[in-house]
Amino acid sequence: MKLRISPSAARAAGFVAFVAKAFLDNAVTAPSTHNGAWLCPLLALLPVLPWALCADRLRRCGRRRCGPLYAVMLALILLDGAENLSAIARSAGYLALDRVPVALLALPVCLALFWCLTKNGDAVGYAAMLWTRLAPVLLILVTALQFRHLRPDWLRPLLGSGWRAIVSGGVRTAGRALPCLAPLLLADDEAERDGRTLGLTVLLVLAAALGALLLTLHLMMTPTPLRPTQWVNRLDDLLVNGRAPLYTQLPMISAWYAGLLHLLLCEGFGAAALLQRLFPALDGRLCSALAVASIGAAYALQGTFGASDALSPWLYVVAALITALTALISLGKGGRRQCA
Amino acid sequence: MDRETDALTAGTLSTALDDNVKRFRAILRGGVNSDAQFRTLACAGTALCAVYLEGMADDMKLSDFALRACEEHDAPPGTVIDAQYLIERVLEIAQCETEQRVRQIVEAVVSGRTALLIDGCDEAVLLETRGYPARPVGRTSNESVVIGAQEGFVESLRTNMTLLRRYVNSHRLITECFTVGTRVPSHVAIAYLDGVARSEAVNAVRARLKRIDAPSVQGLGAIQQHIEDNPWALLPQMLQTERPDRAASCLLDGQVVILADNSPCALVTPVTLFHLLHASDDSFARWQYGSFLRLIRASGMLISVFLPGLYIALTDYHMHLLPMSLLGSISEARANVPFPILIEILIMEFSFYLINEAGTRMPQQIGSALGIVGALILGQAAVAASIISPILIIIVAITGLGNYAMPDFGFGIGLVICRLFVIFCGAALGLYGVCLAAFCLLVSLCGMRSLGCPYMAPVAPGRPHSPDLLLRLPVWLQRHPLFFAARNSWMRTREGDGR
Repeated sequence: MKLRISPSAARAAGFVAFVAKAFLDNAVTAPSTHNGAWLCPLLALLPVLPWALCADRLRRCGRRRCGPLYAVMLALILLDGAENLSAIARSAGYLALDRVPVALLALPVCLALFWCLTKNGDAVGYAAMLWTRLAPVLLILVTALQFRHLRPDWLRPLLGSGWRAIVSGGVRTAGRALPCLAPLLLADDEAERDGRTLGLTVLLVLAAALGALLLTLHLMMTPTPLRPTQWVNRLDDLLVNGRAPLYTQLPMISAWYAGLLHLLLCEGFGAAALLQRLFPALDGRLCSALAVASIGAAYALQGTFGASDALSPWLYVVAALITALTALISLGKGGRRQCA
Repeated sequence: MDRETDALTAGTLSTALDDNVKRFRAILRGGVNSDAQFRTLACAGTALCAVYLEGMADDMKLSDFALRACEEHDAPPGTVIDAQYLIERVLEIAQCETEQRVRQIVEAVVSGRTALLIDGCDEAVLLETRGYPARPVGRTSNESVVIGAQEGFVESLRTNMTLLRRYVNSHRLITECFTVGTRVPSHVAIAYLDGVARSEAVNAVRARLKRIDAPSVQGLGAIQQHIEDNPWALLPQMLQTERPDRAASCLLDGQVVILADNSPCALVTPVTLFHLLHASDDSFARWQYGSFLRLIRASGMLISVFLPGLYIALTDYHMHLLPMSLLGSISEARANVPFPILIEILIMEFSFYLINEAGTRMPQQIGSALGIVGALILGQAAVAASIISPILIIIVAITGLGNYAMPDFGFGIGLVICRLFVIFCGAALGLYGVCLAAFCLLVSLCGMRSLGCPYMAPVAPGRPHSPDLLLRLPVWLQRHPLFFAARNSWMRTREGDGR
């Protein structure tokens, strides 16, 4: 089986994953920017957009000499995938299964991830497309249920911890978002074409705006904590804000899980497809299994490199440098003619 | 067929009538088979033999328009009586053709036609004399509608093809006939609108039908299993309908319809998930009513798949998400029930589908007994004995109703299996499990294809379409033909004149 994804499916998967990642990162995983969190996805757009356009260009030029870029992207995906897997397992542990070891809770996701990856890339992208239709319904429902409890005055001070933290948060978000956009690099023009796709720039701007909107809503739902809090406490703040009735949180929990699962699936496909590009002789199912196993292993070893949060801003720098170098070499060797 | 018969059916006819008759007697086991008939006669001095199967061929048609015509025919002396002469001058049956190959003649005879063997001629005349008893066109039994046409397909392939032609009055309607099954052939036809159905789709159906190498293929159900894209998928990738008007509407949308002898329904391909949620009533009713019914059906589908799983997840793992009063009544109702909720649900689901299956199989005369058994024993008695909580009966009943709202039988059963998966995931992992199960089902659906078309189209991937998916907006807004139609389809032109 060859792992393939059409450009439209890749864009849909990247869009959903970008929004989910921007929200997860700035609301729960690393909310160091406090009230300025909503600016981070917008700022992240500045470095992400050139990278995405460059990746798209490389794809259209035939992806020559992309081996080093694939290897770097694979490493980034494994690092970030482990974070996402951890987020899902910890959410499950927090919500109900607090007596089950978190590592055990990651197992069903890994199995589900493998099952989904065997359906190939278009299924990943089409599922994201469907989610873009369902998510607004859930979003409207959540907003309507929480509307009376939203406090716009909690948005102040608008810049939160200040410009320095916001810029740092923007670059960190960009670094975290790059692995989600790997399908853009891997999309296959020979796969099924879809006439109704938005341009890449418009799509990423929309994703950043949506991420900012979600973060704004979140900031209006939950007051900024005065002291640094644990991951689980921040999730608790998100889901149980103490004002809306508990049963109104069902759609929010569904949206939370769905967003995380789409994010993980997008990165899982990226990892599997990159593996197959690096080792073309491998079967797609084997690559999927290896990708899932690698993400699982990275999650198991997470304690070893627990400083990944500090590394986040550098992820972008590394990936951007390698991409730029690859693009230069590729275009310098006649790639431009091929693109024309 | 054994090797000996294979050898006999190979090759062509000889010119000696006796040899040919002997050969056919051997093939059709003339001495043993009581319905194999070999009627000898003469036409202007030339010996003939009509070979047919009694009951399959219409005796009256054969004797009035073929045998009598042959015997009463006067030919000038010296006239050579051959197959062509009989067709042009003697026989009074409209559909006749000549055939030399023995295998083809045997297949024709077995299907109800009559082979007229001629002395001194190495060709036989095949007469269209099929006249076996068949059910007349009647009301549909599984796809009833409140308004709209009431007639349904029957078991005769020819009648079904005629029904389709009645609904689609266009010279562009093509019906191609095939036989499938290498040993016991069955007659199959594909119908499509030339210039509307995509040629890739038609070619794919044709190729898949020809690729079937099973010894016999009985009915459309078997054909569907041979040619579908994802044999392991839970949901059907083709639509079975017993309504000619629905099949005709699919033809106009550019889909391909497959008909088979002895199957009182048609198979439509390609389809999407949304087609399986549509019913004929939606199109007949005004758009407001049609849209409302579709929304009810879509909710029924969601309830059918997720309600029991959500119930088990919420009551077992996330009690805090239930309003206090509801939680109180659930706890009170379950106070004396000795089983865990999973077992309780499985008992109820099993009983429900046992009653369902029994109701389908048992004779109509004793059908009322089933209602008593279901309502009294499984309802009242189970609650009184504290085996089942009353709230669970409500949950399972609503779930069952949601399932019955599905217009397609196979789709409904597929949903039941999906529901069991969700129940187990919910029981094992709570809402986390339900979300995982829903996600897996969603991705599986997105990965499915029907004759190469994405199963969740035109939503994922997006395709231009009329507002006729989950909602059915007014007919005058539906200007886009379905995306199944060819790009240059003449149905896309304003005139729609069949250019």
